[in-house]
Amino acid sequence: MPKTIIWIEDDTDIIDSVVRPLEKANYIIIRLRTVKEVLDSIDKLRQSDLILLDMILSPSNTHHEFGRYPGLSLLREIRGRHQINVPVVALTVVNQEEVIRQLRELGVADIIRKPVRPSELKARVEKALVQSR
Amino acid sequence: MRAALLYGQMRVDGPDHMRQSLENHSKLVARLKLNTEQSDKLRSLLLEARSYTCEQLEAIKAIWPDLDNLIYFLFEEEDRLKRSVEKVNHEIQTRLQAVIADAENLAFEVTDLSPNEIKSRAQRVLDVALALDTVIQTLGEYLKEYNFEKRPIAHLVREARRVYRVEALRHGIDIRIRFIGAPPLIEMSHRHIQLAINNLVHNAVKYSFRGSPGRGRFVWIIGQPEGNLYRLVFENFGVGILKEEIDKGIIFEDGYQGKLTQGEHRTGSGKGLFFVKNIIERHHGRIEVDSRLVAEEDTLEGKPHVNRFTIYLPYQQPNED
Repeated sequence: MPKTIIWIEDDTDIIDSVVRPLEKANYIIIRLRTVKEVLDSIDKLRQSDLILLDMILSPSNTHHEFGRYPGLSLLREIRGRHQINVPVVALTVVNQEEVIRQLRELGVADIIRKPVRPSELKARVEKALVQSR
Repeated sequence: MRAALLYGQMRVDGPDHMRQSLENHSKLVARLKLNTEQSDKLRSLLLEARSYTCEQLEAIKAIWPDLDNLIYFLFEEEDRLKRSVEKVNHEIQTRLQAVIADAENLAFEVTDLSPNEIKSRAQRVLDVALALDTVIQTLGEYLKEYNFEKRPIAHLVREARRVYRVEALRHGIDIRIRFIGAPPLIEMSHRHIQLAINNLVHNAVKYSFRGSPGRGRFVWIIGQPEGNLYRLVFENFGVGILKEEIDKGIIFEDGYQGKLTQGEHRTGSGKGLFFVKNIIERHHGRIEVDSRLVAEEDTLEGKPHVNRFTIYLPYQQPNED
């Protein structure tokens, strides 16, 4: 059964090709671009095998409380309120120590800094999937 | 303490930095209403601030009991600058990610592709790299020198369409060009005008509502002569611009992002239009913007507007003698 990866990223239109090797390897990639789309897709998150998460999503008219790094706030929401323990790999340009520290506290499986080669992304996603079993 | 250290970090080196430092100091003196003696003493203390002791900090506070306000102000400024740098970094890294991903995928798959597919994919890598170049050049430091020569404006417009075409198509948007009459040669610094046009096309695509099957969306670029100027209009249907942002000109301020653009899925550095305006004015041209609400109903992407950015360029630059 093909594994499903939820990719939370607002710039999928620009960087879509970074997941190409994963799609060629028959992973199903579901793209969610906004905070609203993620919150409307909790069931999909729960049923997925892995979440690939960017920290910076566009500022949202409807979710100001998600602050400067909506990805981090979303992760807290996913883990806390919704009790979703699917492995999460952060894929982000953000490099601040404080953000990295909080990601580790929230138990992310890996933190990958953009830009990343598609082959490396595939390798690290697969490693995270293996380790989560 | 941190405010003082921040000032103390500045080394007063060279005439430009000295002038900037003195300007900043003058503004601060006016803002905090210091008298001449206080201002002079404060300045000499701040310039020595590298190795501040507690006694020196107390000395500053004795002159300036309102030190807290300055600290908050500087923290806000620092935070604003950090956010600005973060936005620019995000834009650059995103484009760079696309270049790296497209290039590696092409390298790995080249043996499976036909010659036309290889050419198309390689062109895609080039176009994304050019889009990245536009983002980087918008930082302003790389293109200080303007070199004027006559160039066909049509080539620059078509180049911009090519660079952003794939991204536009992914949004369900078609970029269309119309020239009324033969498009002319215009005396320009073509690297700068190319960047300006790229920025305007990119914005038009980025802030367009998405197309869908049965509902095509278009970005129009229309060129025509207007007296002794050439007019280029960049039109889209999508997120609008507030009237006050246009009337007050703040839409062209460095780092400013239109309030209506802070929607669900659009990021940007806020530097593009500032850069475009500078370039057009350097060419003795002008830029105008119009944004008209076309329907009151809110869609998922916001209230629909027709937006037009119009640039006017003289055919020839005036003699600077």
